[in-house]
Amino acid sequence: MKVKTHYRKVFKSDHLGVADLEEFLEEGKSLVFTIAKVKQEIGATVAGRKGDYNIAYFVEKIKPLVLNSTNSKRVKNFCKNSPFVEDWTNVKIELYIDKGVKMKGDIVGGVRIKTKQPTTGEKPKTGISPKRFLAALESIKAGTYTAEKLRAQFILSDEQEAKINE
Amino acid sequence: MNNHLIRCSSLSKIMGTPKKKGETLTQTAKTYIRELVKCEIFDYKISIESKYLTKGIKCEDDSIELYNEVFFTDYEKNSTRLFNNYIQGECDINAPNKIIDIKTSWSKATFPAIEQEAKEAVKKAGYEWQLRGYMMLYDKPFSEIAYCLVDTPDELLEYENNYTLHHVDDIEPQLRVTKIGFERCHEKEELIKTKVIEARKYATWYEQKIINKY
Repeated sequence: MKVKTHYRKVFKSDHLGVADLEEFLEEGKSLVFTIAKVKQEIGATVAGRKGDYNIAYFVEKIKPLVLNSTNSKRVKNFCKNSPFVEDWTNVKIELYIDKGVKMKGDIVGGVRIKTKQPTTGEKPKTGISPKRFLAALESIKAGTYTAEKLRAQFILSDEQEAKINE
Repeated sequence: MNNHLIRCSSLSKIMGTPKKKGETLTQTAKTYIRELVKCEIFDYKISIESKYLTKGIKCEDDSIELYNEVFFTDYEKNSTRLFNNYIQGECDINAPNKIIDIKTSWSKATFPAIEQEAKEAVKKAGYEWQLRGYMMLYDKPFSEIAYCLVDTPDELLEYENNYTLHHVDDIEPQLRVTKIGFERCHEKEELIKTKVIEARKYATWYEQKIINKY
């Protein structure tokens, strides 16, 4: 069978771009990665243009990411605000495609680092104060809220469970 | 402009009390009405864009979800616009005995953390008249303004330096909503009607001035 050619093939470069992220998303992959280190490369070539760039290399086997001003600022933020790229190591980040990124006035889209660092797992459930429990109970009795939703949100005591079932 | 229906969200602009005796509209009201007339005659629209408004629109569903989580309700966004002979408006939530207007705060710093601060913010922005308009349109005895604090979307943080002001979902939900309520007042509704009539008179005068310029 003849191998088909994906249109994105010609858009790809040596560095991580929108086309790569679109592919990850299509494959159902997570966009959470860990920056192993950031190197300031003088006279590097990016998209055919020679210049000085901050380039992030990942622990995962993916292409490096050229850090523009916005993304550099976000990584700095995750590294106790250190402006030194040598301090930008082992940084967990989540990428996304910002469709509004402009280049020379045109909207082209771009790879962005989320401003919030990815966390592990869901927030643990807690108990509910007696005052809020009474408010919830009233809503359940009025039919505007359900016991299932309350249980999903909070850890209920046996006494509270009994009151719901009254 | 004889039958122009003022939007509830703009009511505060015409409801002020003029400083000079014998006048019925404030300078703010007149400026606003002139703008409306010019938009109609010269056929243009004024679009106001700001990061604060954009967050309000983009995060409206998140804010309603937060409200529901905190107050154990199941409200949904209302999408029915109502009119009477004076005003028009579309409230955020049309609950059984009240309407609720959701205000999504820009950041932790601008969020009114207690009722007193919410009252001050409402007074400064003139939101009370907006709610009075809604109570009149939707025929409800009560109304509520709920300030909600939810995460700011990343695309609005491009030029922000302090992300800690905008990441809020680790804060207890009940600390992120501050609400204040109003009771319906028919006297104040009569005042709305009077002001709309005065605004229309002024609009007609201004319209004639433009049309009969030469």
